[in-house]
Amino acid sequence: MRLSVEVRGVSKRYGPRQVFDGLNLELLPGVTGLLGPNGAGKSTLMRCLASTLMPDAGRVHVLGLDLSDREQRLQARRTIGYLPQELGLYPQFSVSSLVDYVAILNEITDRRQRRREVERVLEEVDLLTERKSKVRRLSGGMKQRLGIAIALIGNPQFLILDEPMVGLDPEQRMRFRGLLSRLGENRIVLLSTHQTEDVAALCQRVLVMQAGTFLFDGPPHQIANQATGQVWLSAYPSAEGQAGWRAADGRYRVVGAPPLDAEPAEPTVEDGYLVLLNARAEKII
Amino acid sequence: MSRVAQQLALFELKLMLRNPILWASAGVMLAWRTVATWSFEPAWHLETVQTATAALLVGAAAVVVTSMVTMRDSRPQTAELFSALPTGQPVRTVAVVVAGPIAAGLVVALVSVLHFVSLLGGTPAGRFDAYEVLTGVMVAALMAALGVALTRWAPTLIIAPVLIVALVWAIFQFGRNWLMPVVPIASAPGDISRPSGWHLGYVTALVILVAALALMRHGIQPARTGIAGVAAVAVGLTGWSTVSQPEANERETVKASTTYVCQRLGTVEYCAYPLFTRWISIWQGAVDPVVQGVPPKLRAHLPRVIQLPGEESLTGTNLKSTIMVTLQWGRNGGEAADRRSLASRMAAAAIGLPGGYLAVHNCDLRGQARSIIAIWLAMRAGEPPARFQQSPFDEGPNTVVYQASDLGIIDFGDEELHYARRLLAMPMAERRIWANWDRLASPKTSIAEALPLLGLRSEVPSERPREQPCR
Repeated sequence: MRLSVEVRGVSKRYGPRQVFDGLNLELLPGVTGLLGPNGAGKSTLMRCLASTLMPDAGRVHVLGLDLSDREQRLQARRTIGYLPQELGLYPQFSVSSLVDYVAILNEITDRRQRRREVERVLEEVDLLTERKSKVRRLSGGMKQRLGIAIALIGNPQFLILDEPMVGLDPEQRMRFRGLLSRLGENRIVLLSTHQTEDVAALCQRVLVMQAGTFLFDGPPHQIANQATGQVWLSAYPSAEGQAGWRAADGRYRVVGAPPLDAEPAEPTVEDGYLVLLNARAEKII
Repeated sequence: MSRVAQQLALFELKLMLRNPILWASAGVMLAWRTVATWSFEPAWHLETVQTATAALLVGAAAVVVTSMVTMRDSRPQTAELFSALPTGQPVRTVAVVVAGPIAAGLVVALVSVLHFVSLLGGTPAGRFDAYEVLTGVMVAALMAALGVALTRWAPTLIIAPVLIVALVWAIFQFGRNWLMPVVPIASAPGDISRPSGWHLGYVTALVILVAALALMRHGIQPARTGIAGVAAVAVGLTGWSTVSQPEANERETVKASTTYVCQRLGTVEYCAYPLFTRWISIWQGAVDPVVQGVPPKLRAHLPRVIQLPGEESLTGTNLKSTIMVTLQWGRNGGEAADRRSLASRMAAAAIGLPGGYLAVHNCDLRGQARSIIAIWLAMRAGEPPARFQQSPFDEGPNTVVYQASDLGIIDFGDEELHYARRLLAMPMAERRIWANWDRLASPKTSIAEALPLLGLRSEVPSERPREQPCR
């Protein structure tokens, strides 16, 4: 079984709206970050990869298994861990019951093995002490961690995480970054996020998606390079820059046209991402 | 059933058995049956049917619970997560449609056992119909399965309340035999009109049919269709057998035999159905104090006490020598009225009052000496006979109003009640009464004539008969 995910000529349409058309992608072991504005098609792509949504055209192969084939799709689901963007958890369940329930649905039928697995994934997301708490009593961040724990059940070879960092406090984010980088060592992790610093910190590869197409596909430092010569620090704001804000030191950080008395600054992934999106917008205009 | 389905069913079962809605309904069911049977000696043939009917309460709760559980994976955000898992919705349906009926059935079984054990504190009689008990279990299971099937076909939370409203409507619309042959409500032996074995088979087949229909929501497969087809045929056959033998249950469970078991205790013969012989001593407890008040030479001629409904045809001859008791007897205070009624009828028979079943017209005992003796005899067992009262009796489309006292279709007044009380307080009153029995028992002897014979003085005003005097 080849440890890869292949997307070939995939198209998806919601009524009159074409989300993407003829999309191609190959994912290999490691953490891949998926960036893009709202409505770019990230979640739709993730649903197609998670087999919860069938594309209108094209093929998706997960670890060599064709998702358009019923039997192969079923097999593929045994290798996929999926955290949807909006997670509906059962408020009346206890934390361990919910994880146990999903573990059964993941075909872990041996009771001892299931108990070990429940403890393992709850330990991974630091929720073991809350295992008897009702889901309704958990904070937003805890619920998010619970969702991540559910995605980790069964040690899936392909992890699809749609905005998993939402609601996590800084400490939990750091912990989660560590977990994801560990997981990415020998499996495919696709991570959708709006947090560019997370992408910079843990992804080996970044995909920037807008309007159903990939604007960028490469390592994080290359996306930052997109903004080389376009990031400035100045005592004055810029009326012509693509983006600008006053930083903690009182100076303005500007992306785009330089303001008065500007000095060049080291670009970040976020700067590169902004430049990429704006370049695309200008092309369209 | 796959290993995943088994584990999932076990998981759902554990969860449902912790569901407060189910246990609240169990509490209400137990309270209902406890209150309803508190004042009556347990009659198994009735109580097993009534408990099966009461299982509808747990069934209603089970509909709500299984519907909610079935709806669980239909929530948009949850559906997204679940659709990426290897276990699909059909397996989840199998798990719920297995776990729901088992959970509801277990709760009903537990409540039924608790209730029946509590009834052992009384003097239970009649045939304990295990089929009826199991029918109660299956009725709850049927409702649980319905909750799953309806919610799979119409995935909305409103479906459970709609089903419950339809159920309540059906009960009021079709009365005792609503939705026959599913669950008739029995309140008297004559109402039980189903052979319990066939009926159990019918409800069980319905559970299987409904479960198969729930699964058919996920596609018509040969196995599901086959099970549904066999279950449908079974429903038809068992349903037909149930309604085509309406008397079977009464014959089997009430009488158990066409002959009575008769015992002569002292001078009175008591006849009960074989499964009700434990009640003979209870009847004797009410009759004996009356018998002890009758002159010994007359005691051999007292009527026998016999249980209704019976196979014997009641004619004028045996009516006069028979006092009938029913398949019900009170307890925890509820027995007072039954004791009073039985003792009063024995007293009325002993003094020669017109027999209740023969008297078709009202008559009035006011002013007659024998009224004092009849009331005195009855009061030896406890309370004085109930006064003349109207009781509505539902007879088909018309409600007929009957007037009767505990002595029969016979009225009496305060005067005789007063003197009966005085007699009861008088030591050795029996000797005076027995010595003048023939005169006192005569319809021609007035109270005024009797008072000196009884050693009493006139203390209250005389009353005139309001109806035709009794002869």
